[in-house]
Amino acid sequence: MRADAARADRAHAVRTAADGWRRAGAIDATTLLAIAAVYPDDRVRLGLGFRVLAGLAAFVGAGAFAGLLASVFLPGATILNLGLAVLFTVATEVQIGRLRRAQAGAEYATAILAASSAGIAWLSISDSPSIGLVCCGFAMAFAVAAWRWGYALFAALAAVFVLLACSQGNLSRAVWLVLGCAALTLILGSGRSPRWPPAHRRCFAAAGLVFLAGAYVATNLYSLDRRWVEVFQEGGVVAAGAWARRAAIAGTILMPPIVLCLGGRFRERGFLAAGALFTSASLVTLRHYHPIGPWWLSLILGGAGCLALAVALRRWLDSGPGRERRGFTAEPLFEDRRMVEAAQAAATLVAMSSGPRGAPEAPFDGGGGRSGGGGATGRA
Amino acid sequence: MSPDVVSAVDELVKQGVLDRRAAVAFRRAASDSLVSVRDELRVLLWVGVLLITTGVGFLVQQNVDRIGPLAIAIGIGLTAAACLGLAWRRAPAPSFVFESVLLLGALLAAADLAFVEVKFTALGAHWPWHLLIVAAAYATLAFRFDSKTLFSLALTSFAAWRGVSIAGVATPWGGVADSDRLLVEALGCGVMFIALGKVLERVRIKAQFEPVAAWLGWLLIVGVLAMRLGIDEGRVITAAALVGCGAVLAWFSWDERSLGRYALGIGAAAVGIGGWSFQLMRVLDGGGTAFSTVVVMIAAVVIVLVLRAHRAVGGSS
Repeated sequence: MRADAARADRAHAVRTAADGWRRAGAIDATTLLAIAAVYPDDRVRLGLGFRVLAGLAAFVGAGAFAGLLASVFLPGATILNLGLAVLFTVATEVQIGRLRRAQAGAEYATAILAASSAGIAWLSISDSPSIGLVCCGFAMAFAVAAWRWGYALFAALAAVFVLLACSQGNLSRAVWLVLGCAALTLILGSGRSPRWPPAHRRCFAAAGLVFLAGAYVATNLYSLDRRWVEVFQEGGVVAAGAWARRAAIAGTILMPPIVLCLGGRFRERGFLAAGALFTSASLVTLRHYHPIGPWWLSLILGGAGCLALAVALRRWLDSGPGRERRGFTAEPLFEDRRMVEAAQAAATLVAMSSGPRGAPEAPFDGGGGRSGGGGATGRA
Repeated sequence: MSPDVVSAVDELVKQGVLDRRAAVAFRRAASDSLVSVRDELRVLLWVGVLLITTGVGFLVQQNVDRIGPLAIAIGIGLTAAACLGLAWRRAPAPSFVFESVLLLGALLAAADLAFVEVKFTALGAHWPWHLLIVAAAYATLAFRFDSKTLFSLALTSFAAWRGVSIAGVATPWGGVADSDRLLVEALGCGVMFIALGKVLERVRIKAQFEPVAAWLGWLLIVGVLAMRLGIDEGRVITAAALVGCGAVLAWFSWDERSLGRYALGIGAAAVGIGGWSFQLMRVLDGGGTAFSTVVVMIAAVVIVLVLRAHRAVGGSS
């Protein structure tokens, strides 16, 4: 990451926190201005609406430009993709460097195109590439892009490609588990280290969470039985042995509480979210192998459990000294919650709106045209 | 955890910018020695509501013959009444637990009404009207409990009612082609939502609902016009309508400094111009190269407009 971009990123983190303090009424406008003066941010940062529009326009425009180049110059696939990768990399560098853009959408779009073009160029070099080789190329492209530009999504994609690349061979599950252990270092070590700018810390955390999810998939019993990890393996896949199944049963049961405990111990939200997801996945797995009542009952009980747990946790936290317990509180701190609330409202609309349904078929039954009598059934 | 903010807090205290007592709370939040799980609890409640309503849907679907429709209707109705009663007793209580109970009660009541309609056919041939009743009920609850979520559900239920009416027989659009009835209904709903938002804002009754109504209205209008661009017949007129709507939206949103809606307007106008260009290329047999050139130019203009707008508002978007 460029030194000036990293410096601006650190200043932006402070200014964002100060905005939260101001919104909560903990500081006044004068103090906010004083903080902004001490931590100047020279980057062009657009609001969400502008960012999305500029990003989409840049993505579509740059894609059309790539098509234009391909149709005019008619180069080979490798040359074209390498050329595009260089072109989009330069475009991203210019935007982040000279134009000082940080959250402007357009530089993100060209960065995505640069990394994708580099990956596709790698793919087109080989005549018959294996999945492992292809994934290695894409992982490298996205990892370098994440390192240079600090986008967490790129780091997560690089981690996904690393997992896919490691799914080859007999020890693929073991490798996924090892990567899951490495995730702890990524999230708790590099993801929290003051050595790295906030963008890189987010990258480490995103990659770590993907590796952690990979480790859960590697231990899950259903995934073992369905051979999810080995799905891209070339050649035959042998069924899991009895010991492997026992280990997977233990992993399915133990991994969610371990991750939740880590989240509680280190007050790491990523672990808490991952632990909650793993818990629900383990419960669904349990229900798959040991059906307890019909699905509707499981859903209603699960929903009631979620409601009860949320209310109980809220009450427990509120009843603590200073409305907090063990470093957790249900009170809002200084974060900007508008995005979360907007996302929740949108999710409610998508998931719970009444959808227009087609008119019911007219229950027409003329009953004519049947033949009968003489033992005929009226059916052909 | 944000080590940069932790060190910044220390530095700002040293410089006398921050009060030492306030800095303790800032430092704790930045160093994750105090973490708020408010959002996580909200999501947990939301998932709970979603699971229960889905489970109730399955229960009704799979057990209607075994348990009997009357028992199911009464059971769901009683649960909904309990949730709504609890919300009524606690109101006004703008906590997220309260919101979840209210939402659960409203959704269960709507599901119950739909079930009663399907099983007992209370409205007969006019069955789509139950969606209008649901919309009215959601709106009543939204106004009573000041819930934006329920207000948006009321609007989408109303739109769903119009959607069903098209599929049925009770459409007043005799002169409109079948394929365009949905377009006309959606445009009508969109305009109505925008007007409703403006009225609420003007008369200052629940003026906070205006953004919800305006966003849903414009999304409906722009979305349905953009979808209509995929049909060859009348593409030029649809594109013109999209450009016009986008321009009007951008113009008024700019006046109101509503930058999200301004971006939607610019985007809609750009898509409309793209539709024109596509049709023009087809007529002139321009081919992919010419169209790609036009797309690149449109994209460049959009980016320039966005950056200029950002600069005009002082970079505070």
